[in-house]
Amino acid sequence: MGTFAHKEYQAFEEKVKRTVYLDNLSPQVTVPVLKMALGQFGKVVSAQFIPNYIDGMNIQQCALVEMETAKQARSVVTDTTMYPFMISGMPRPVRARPAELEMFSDRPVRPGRKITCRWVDSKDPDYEIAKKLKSLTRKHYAESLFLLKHQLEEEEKLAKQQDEFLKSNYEKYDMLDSITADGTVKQVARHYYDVDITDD
Amino acid sequence: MEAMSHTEETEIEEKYQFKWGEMIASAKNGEVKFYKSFTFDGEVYSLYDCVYIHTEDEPEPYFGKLVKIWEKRNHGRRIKILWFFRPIEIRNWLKDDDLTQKNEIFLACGEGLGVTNVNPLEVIVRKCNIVCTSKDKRNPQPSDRELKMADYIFYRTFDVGTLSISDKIEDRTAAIDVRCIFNRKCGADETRSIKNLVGQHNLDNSRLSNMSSEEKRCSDNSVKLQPKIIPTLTLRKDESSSGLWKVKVGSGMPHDKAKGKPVQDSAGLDKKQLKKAMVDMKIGKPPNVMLNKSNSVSAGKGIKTDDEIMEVTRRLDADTRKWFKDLPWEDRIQTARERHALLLLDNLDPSYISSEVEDVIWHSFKEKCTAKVIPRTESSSPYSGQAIVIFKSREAAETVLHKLNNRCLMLPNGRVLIGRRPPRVLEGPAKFFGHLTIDKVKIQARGEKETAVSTAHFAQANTIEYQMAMEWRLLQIRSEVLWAELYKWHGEERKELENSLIE
Repeated sequence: MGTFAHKEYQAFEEKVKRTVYLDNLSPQVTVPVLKMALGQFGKVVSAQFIPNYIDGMNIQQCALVEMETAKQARSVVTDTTMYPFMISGMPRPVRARPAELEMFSDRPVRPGRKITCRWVDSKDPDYEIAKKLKSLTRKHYAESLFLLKHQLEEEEKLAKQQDEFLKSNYEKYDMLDSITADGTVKQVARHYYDVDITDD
Repeated sequence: MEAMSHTEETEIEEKYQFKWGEMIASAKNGEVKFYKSFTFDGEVYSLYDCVYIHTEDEPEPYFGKLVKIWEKRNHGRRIKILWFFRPIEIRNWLKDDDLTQKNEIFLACGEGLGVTNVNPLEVIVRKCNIVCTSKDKRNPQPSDRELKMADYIFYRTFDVGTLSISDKIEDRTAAIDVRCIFNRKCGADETRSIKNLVGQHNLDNSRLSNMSSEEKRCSDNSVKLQPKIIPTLTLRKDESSSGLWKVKVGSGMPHDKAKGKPVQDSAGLDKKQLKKAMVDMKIGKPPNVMLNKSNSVSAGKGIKTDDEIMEVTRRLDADTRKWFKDLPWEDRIQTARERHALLLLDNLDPSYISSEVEDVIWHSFKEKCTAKVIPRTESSSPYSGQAIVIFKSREAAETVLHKLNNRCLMLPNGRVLIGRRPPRVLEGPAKFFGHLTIDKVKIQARGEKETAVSTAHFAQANTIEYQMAMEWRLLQIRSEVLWAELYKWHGEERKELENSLIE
């Protein structure tokens, strides 16, 4: 049984090496979409989203995509890091990283691990420190939440900025278009620069 | 109502190999047969063994001593149980500093309801190792090893009549010789006491008829048999409507707020009420149990000694969970959230898997639960793993939370476990910033989600798209740096504190 557990765990570790972690995914992305998108880097064995049970705050989706070989997985990571890669929408690119063991919610147990625990009560010499550790963990959690919120705000800000930028860009092109169409450009060119810009 | 159909019985016999042991007496021309022991699923249960009795409505099993085992023709198998009380069940009569040992329980005694009950044999879950530490000369003193192995110990009694605790065990409790209540010395002693019992049966005719009537009442209730999982507990009907409530009220105990269940005739109770009442009254439970349920369910038990390091092993019945097909997790979390039976654990070793978390909870709180570790993402802390845990009941979740808040559960590497209620889920549609073509994609995705042809591509370097994508990249990298800095700082802070731990 011991060897079976070891084998199972080893197989799992191999699988992790073949797997790519993706985030910054839009909620529109589905498993078939993922498979097709990463299909251009090699054969996709399986794709799954990392379930988000708790915070509705982090709305970007995260996914694990298992490729056929570890090499393919590596090339997904390097290529998408070098060039912005879009799935189901732009211009926010996805981010790919090598997967880690802890990202798998259905991972097998690490063989031979023993867990011990004990209650530390007020008489224990470690009690004060244990209490401090507790509040420290709470503080850290609050800080992470804050950073997450901050990150979302930044995203929103950038999205707005880009929206403005695109709008003004669109207006610019629209204007260019209209003055070309109604002959203003031709007139102005002739009038000021004495150039004929008709398409002959 | 027939207790159980015959075929059902045979089926169970085949599956779990039920076998009677030695018969010690019979009465009424062989209608009723008394046995010394029986074998169920490979385990031998003898008279005076202690067993766990599981009820559907309670997350915690009860425990008692088998004091009579018999079968009446066409009426199924019965056992008579002498109950033990958990400290929490009698805590109104117990001073706080009274409890010297965390796993102490109390033997029921005295006159009144709640000392013993007749139950179908099938309510037994498994054996329970209860050791008597009474200093009485007749009690064979347990060895250190036996004490260590014990699930529970007892040396005191709780009198249901006078509502008092005593450390003297009466010579006869519920008509049982005290020697059968003490630890067993050796085979000879046991035989003698069993002979006593046989004598009792043969001589004491009135008792016998008494018992048959007990038995008759018992057989009126059907037993839904689910051996070894959670058998439905059915109890004597007449108990539900009488006794302890009145006793308690009469004795001037301040329990008037208790549930407000009216005391009335069993005829007036409908079946559902009755069942509930029966469970409530089962061990003649003092009503305060019901009052204080919220933070009491498992207080004061399970943990052997404070400083003792518990090794977390696989829970005994861990595999039985595989018998049922589980609902999807999202649904289960949703229902658990509504029932307030959901907790979020923090500061776990990130490499723990779900079943390990379940085992930790089981060993430290003796609470069954289902847990799911929250998978790591890029923004998760590398130091602190989180898990979401669904408990059986709101009470269980509250108890665990209360204990985690007031005490410190230390896991390896100086990790102190933290519990909290899960944050509220944000309502409304998910917002995802940064995709401008969303409208178009949305229409497509809604219609044919599974077959949607995605537009996955690399941005070309000379486009506006590329320029904007770079802005996003920049933001991503900035947040990566921020997370890394934050966690580096967290790591340093943790290390500093952890280093000052003594153990």
